[in-house]
Amino acid sequence: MGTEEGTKIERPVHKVYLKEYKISRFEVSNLEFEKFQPNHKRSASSACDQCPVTMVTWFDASSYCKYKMGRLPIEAEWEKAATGPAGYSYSFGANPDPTKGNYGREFQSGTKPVDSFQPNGFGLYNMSGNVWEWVNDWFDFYAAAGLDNLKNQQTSNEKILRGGSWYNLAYYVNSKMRFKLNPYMKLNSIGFRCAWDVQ
Amino acid sequence: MSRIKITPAWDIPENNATLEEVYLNRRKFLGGMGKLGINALALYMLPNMLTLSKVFAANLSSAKSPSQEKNNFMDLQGKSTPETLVSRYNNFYEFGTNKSNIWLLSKELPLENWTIKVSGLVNKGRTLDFEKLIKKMPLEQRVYRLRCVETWSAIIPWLGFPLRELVKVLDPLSTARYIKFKTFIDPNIAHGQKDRFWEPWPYVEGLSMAEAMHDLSFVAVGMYGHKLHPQNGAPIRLVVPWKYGFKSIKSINSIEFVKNPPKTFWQSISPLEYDFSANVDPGVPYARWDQRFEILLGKTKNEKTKLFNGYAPQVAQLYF
Repeated sequence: MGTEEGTKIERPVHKVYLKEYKISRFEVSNLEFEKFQPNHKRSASSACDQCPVTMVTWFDASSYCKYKMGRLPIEAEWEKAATGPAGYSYSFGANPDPTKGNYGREFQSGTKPVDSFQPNGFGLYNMSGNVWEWVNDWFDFYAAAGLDNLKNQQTSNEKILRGGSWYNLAYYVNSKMRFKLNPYMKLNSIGFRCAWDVQ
Repeated sequence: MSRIKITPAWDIPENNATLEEVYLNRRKFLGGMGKLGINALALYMLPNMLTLSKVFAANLSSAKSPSQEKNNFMDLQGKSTPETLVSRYNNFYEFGTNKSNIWLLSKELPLENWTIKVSGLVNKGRTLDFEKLIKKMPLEQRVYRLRCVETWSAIIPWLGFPLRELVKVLDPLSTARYIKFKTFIDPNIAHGQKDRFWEPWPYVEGLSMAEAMHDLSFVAVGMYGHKLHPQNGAPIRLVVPWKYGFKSIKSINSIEFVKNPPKTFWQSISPLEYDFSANVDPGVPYARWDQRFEILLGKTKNEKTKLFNGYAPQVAQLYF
């Protein structure tokens, strides 16, 4: 986990041992989310039924996953899932390629349906690009978290986001890059997917 | 035979001093060092003055435009906003949103081997080496008013060349109607691009070809007699004095000639607030700022904002 190519918040590269888990193949769509929260207002940038739900706070996302008997993925789970079996920097491969994911596009172009583009080696769609995805963790430096952030103690007021969105360039959709934001924020480029423990 | 000196109408006259003089020019500064002693101001200014490159010195001494004759750097005392203010109060969201520390946060911007990608509707797409480019361009100095949309302003002696001279070098096709400019992107260095990850980086701005070819449109590579500092848009930036400051894009590394108006950074984020032309107009308020008045950096009293930032006689015909 981590990369030396980023800033100090991505360093150092370190090992994390995860328990077995399941993670959704797709970002949560508008249609799915609105069964849980019928009054949700879709963003014009992500308006179709099968487009990813956006304009959701971290708390909205977490509540939805609990409603689905799951949880938001732990950051380390998300990174493992996104980098695929080969551990690529991007979900679609080792190198940037805008034909393989929804990123690097005009701000006005918006999201694509959650099953767009080819899945990665784990069968997961759009983990690089389309929308940013909330993960479970509070932000902290890897080293400060003792290289084991699974306990996820709150040491900041920001939650982690991963994966980049349709208008971000390759740097942002790199599966190892970390970004952080106030969990009460809702933006037209932020969505999520859920994960589940395996009993 | 008497010599006739033509002064451009947009030139800022000598008696239009805007601030009590605190800015010291190089000659006066170096000559006065014995009296002043080494104080904090001197420690800050000395390295900047000594970075006046040979390129600048050679090109400035050979420049012959009327504006440069009038606006010789050494004649500007008392007219410009003190550099200490202009270099310590900066909007450059790539490095954060706190104006007072951009100068510190931008120090890591790597300026060596700076290149500018030229693409789109041009006869020959290419990548220009900045250092080689400015050796070709006749540098001159121009004193322009800068008006920020946030209702503060400054008077700055820029060094550079007319944008139209650059456009001629870049050789666009006749079908090009607009120019799209981009700033660098490097979130590892420009932490604003990392912290504000949701913004559509890189920064994009644009001009119509008619605006770009206007005599007032300027490309700055220096200010106050030396190269640009990173916080002021090093190594190369636009200066379009009749438009709000955000149009004068900093640290340009891409120029693309296009057919349609490019979507700019601020238009993408807030299309109802920012229009493409963004001409200074006291009659059109922005959502967050009443544009009727402005305050010059270093002053305490507001003054009335003028249409086109006072450059209406020169540029109004572009729009009416």
